[in-house]
Amino acid sequence: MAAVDSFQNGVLQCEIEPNGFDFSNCTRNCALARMGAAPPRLNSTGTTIVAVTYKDGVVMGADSRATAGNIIADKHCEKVHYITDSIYACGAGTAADLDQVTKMLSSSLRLLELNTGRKARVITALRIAKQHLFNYMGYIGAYLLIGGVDPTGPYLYDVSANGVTMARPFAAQGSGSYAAITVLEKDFKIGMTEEEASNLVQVALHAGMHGDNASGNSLNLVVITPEKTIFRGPIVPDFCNKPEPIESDYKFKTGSTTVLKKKEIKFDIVESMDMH
Amino acid sequence: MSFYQFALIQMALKYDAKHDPLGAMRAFKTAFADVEENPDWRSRRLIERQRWNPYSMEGGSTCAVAGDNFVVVASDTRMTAGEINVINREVDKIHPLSDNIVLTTAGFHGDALQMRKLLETHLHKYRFDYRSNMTVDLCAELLARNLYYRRFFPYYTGAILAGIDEHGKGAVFSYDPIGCIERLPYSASGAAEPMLVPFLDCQVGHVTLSEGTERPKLTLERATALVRDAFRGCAEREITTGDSIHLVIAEAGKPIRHERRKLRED
Repeated sequence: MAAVDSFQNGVLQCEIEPNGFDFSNCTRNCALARMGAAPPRLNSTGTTIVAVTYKDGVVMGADSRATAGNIIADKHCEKVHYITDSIYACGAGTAADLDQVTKMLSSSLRLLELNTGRKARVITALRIAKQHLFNYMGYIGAYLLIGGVDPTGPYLYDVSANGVTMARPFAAQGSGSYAAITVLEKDFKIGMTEEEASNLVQVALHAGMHGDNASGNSLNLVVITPEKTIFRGPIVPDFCNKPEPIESDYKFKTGSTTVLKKKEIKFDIVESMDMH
Repeated sequence: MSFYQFALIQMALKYDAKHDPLGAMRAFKTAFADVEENPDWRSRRLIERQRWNPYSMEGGSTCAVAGDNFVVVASDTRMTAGEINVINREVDKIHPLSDNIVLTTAGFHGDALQMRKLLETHLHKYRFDYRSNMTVDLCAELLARNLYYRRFFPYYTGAILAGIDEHGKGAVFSYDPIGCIERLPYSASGAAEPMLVPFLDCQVGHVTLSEGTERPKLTLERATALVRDAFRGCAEREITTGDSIHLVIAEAGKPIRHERRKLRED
């Protein structure tokens, strides 16, 4: 009975004072965990991706660094993925999963467009993505920002690997999202112009690339308006340039390698092809 | 998908909630009561205490090259939390301890500072007791012993001690966290060690060069240029190395010189 009382008191307290965290699901979640349910996995996503809606379109952008642990695996990887002519997706998380998910999305939406004879809607892309990701219970590590313009207006959606989706006026994802979201929270306004929006996305990306070790090198932008889609990139911000070049040259003189063994093979030319 | 939905799916697999809803419910009630009796957060705190981890890694890399009458010590100046967040862009990880001894460290910065303080104290006491400066060989042995003294609660650092020895030659001593010491012509430590060492092996150690090939002399100019280039290369591919290079150059009979160069900041 005491447990019930304290529980009810807790609920009351929450209702009276709407401050702080709510721990009311902790016991239930622990019980479920003990019954064998695995808690959702958290992925580290070494990326900064940013997207912003403006008056009549969407601006999306991403950095271009791919990391494997503390090593930069790819300096110019493409994280802004094409879905349709007026829908794009920025991806954070497992690179292979992102490639495959966005490929799947673009092909199924193209088929839809051909079948219906209309332009695909952003919400359709979202639904296909979330149903696919939900099926795999978060094991497909794809965190997406899907944005685009369709006949009903501009849209931006945030999709998590486990299938949670949210409609957003602006969003950031990846390890650099903390730095990027601060810029967005400060400067985002409803009904910005295209120029304001693309500047805001760039500044937010700069913040992410500067403050986050796992983001950097260069950035790619896509501006989607009702009329056209403009892809800009790679843009290299000032702080991503090498301040000084390598000063020596590292050419080896002929004969630098020890010759261990020599073998001569004599052969006759039986047939030759003109290789042009 | 919420945690709850997720868990329900898992439960359904395990308890077949469709055909045996009561069984699943009973199992859930038992589990719920069990949690209330010994909640995870209590035992987790105990587990946490058992796995108490006093160490952290601040990233960055450092290296040292010894020449005939000089030694070049270099390090980047970035400090990183959890391999991802940059928390400082101008940290000095090279500590000149006297006119002819330089300590440089990578790893846990807190232990690095403590180690520096320890060596400074010992050097001060030595100066007081013997009215002369400690030689780098002696200081190297002192550091090794102090590291091994903490064999089972080590200073979590990859230290390199460099300096000019009593014959006026450059000396580099490399350590592991528990005091294994080795005098080497060049050494590197830290996050980009796997990139720095092969580069120095090739350009300073000439390990890949065939026997008859002419080897360029290791002048001070060549050594500093190599070390700068090494860090420029590492900043390209290692995420915790960057912002700027701090070079400390000790030449026999000359005061220690500092040099700073920019590295990329992203």
